[in-house]
Amino acid sequence: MHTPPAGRADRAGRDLPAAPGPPPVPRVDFLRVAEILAAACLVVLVIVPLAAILVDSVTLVASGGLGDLPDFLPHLMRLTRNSLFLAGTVTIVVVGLSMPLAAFMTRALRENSMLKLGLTLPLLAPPFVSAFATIVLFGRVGVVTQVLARIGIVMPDIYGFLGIAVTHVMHLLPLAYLTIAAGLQSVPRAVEESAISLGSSPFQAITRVVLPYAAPHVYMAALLVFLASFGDVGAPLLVGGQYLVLPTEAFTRFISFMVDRRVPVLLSSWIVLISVCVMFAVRALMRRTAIAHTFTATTYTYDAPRLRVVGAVFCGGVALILFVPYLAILVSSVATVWGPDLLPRALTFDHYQALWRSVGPLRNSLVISGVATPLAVLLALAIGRLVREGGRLGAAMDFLTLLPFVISGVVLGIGIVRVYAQLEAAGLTVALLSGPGLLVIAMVSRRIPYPVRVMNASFMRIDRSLEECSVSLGASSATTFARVTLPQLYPAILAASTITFIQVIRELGPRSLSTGRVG
Amino acid sequence: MKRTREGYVRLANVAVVLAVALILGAGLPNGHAAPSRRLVVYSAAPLNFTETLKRAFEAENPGITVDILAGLGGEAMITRLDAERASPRADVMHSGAVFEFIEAAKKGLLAPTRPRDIAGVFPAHLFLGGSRIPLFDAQGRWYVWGYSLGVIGYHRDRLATLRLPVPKTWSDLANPVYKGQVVFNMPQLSSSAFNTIVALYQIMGPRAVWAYWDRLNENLVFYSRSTSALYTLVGRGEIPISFGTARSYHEGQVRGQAVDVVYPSEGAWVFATAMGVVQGAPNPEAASLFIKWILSPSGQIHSANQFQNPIRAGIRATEHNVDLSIEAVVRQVPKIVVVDLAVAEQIRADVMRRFDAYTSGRAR
Repeated sequence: MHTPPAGRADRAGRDLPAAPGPPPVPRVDFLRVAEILAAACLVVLVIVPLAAILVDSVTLVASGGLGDLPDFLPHLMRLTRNSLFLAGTVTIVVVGLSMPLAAFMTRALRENSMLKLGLTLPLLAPPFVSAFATIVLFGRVGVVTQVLARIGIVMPDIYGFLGIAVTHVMHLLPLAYLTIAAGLQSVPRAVEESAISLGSSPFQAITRVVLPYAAPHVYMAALLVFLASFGDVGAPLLVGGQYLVLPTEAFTRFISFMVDRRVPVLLSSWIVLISVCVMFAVRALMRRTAIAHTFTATTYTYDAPRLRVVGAVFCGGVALILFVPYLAILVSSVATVWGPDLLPRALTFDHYQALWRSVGPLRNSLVISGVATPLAVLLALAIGRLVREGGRLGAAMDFLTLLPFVISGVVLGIGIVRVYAQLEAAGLTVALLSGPGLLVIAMVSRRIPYPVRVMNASFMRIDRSLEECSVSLGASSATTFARVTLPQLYPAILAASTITFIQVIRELGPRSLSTGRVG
Repeated sequence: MKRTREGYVRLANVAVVLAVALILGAGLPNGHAAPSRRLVVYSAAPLNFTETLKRAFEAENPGITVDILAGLGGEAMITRLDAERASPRADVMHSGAVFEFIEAAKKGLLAPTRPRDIAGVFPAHLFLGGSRIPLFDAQGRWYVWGYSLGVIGYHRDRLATLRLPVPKTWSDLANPVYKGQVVFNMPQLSSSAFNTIVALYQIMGPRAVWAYWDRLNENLVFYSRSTSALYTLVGRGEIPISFGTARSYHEGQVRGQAVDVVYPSEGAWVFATAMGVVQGAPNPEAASLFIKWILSPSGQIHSANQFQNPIRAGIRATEHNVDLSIEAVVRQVPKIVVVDLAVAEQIRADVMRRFDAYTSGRAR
């Protein structure tokens, strides 16, 4: 039956009653769909691999699978003791050095940009490279070892706990420094100013006023350093000698076909449990020590020339010490042969020419990073909006994105490979999930915390009244997001892309460029 | 300001398009390509080896593009080929120890070929240093294309500085004068280290070998978990003595490192490396051509240039002066031990158990 459209008149010119028309089509909230898709992706990328490892381990233990591994438990205990002792020592030293470093930089040296660059340089290199630098400098025929030997000082052997600890301290110092410096900058100027005007010395003001405010950042720095040291594979592999730690054992056992396949799975799940326990403990500590304030946080600086001089000497000295290993790497890259002589025999650009000739690995690294970066940033964009909207899902996603930061990369990698193997066994593989595709997935899941943290912070800074105006003027949520929210996020997207790209290629570079193994 | 925003939009668009294009496989070598023009090789050889192999083969065989997935390791290749059994993506399994190829052949992952067509003039065995090295499977499922010898490697200058003599035999390594000057890798993690232990077992016998290792263990600085790190340490002179395949020491020599090798008088062992056509390979003809080329004089020269001993007589490297020819091996190596695969299987569990104790310090 034909129904005349509303507002039309009949032949006599009388208005016809308005017809009911088709029922209104429910509007699809594309943003919500994207958020839910992103949340599902995150679950697949992070939760599924970790769950696979935990389920495998529980199944193994429950089925009496350890009966034929009588030495496993004592070995596990020894590895755990070694790993905790290493990570604990490194954390104490790094945080102990970072606190005065951050205090001098923020309170006396006004964040001098050259010093800051020097102090953050190791962030660009993977621990693997730092470990090689440790050998070049402090090894048995290292430059520092030889120089000290000429003046009668005998260096202890670095292959073992000492080598790993030195590498980790030099490598992780920037991470703690930046975190603590951010905490010190959040201390309200007025509070510190009041303490000084009431007669406190700079030392008293910093220890009694500033540090309690910045305590959560100090704990966060300790957590980050502890977990980075606890989860590192590269340094123990190169300079660890006979000092065995959990992640390296899990990694080397996983890549070998001659050992028991159950061992790396059990070790991985043990690493997950310890890491998550440490994370919960530190988060609880952070919550208990957090001080709420409503002041605008501009930083107070002390106008004390002597403090500036001491600060410049201390910070400059640390920056120089952190720079030396990378200078050694730079020299190694143009050296024909270096070692056991004090200096390289000759200089050459052959290594760079070889790299240029074999452009394939470099291209692969760039392609993998180029694919993983936009995927991670897109995912972070959706997660960031979800977290800002709040609710249980947002809070869950906020926590989930912390996990890859907390869990050793080796464990996440082992989990992803196991899930992939199970999919293959079930005949569910697709070309996308093999080789480079799997590497992209691993990189996105490993590095997702970086863009997510950037996007979360940026979403929090956005003025929501603009979005509310747009919606009240009739724009859909998708239009509002595209035309109002997104333009405000462009700088954050660029920053997140840069950070993610560096993090991915930093992890990928040495692995893809390495010459593999023989035999 | 507006222009900057447009720039960001363009940047984001380009990034998305790039990601989608690459995901769809435009930029990633996933083995799905036009048949007959593209050969997919899974290889356990290091990247620098496979890159030069690809270039050399493509130069002599225009029209065929080779995609090599390098550095996989023998077990990884087997696992992967097994997983892809229903729809094979690779044409050739390349490099890795012979016993891994025997295992792959047992699993039906390698296609039979006619040895006369592929290997042509080659005899079934290579006779060297009083031993017999099998060169191919009777059904043509695998072909040995090169080998390296298990030797003692040392840093000349560092030993001279420490006033230590060059060890001449495997037994010398257990001499207390070398305490703290020897490094070895873990037989649980490295097939070359495992083969060394099996060879020593064959040389010394089941009782003497463990007494010997107890003494040698006292001299070791540590057991390296990374095989490449082992060669780096000896190459720099950090730790002056190690033992493994000669290939890496020769490579170091050519780079200018003061390293050298000793062929122990009790016998150097052979690490032969093989290749085979994958069962159900998308391009079996191109795969056979690839294998034939590697066995040809050109392919064998490439192997020698990359420090693998050639199996074809009269072949010498053209890019360096290290003589790896069969004739040189006959001249220089007094005795060669071929690792007995049956012995390897028989003692594997015991070796793993013992070295779990050695490498965790429990045996000291």
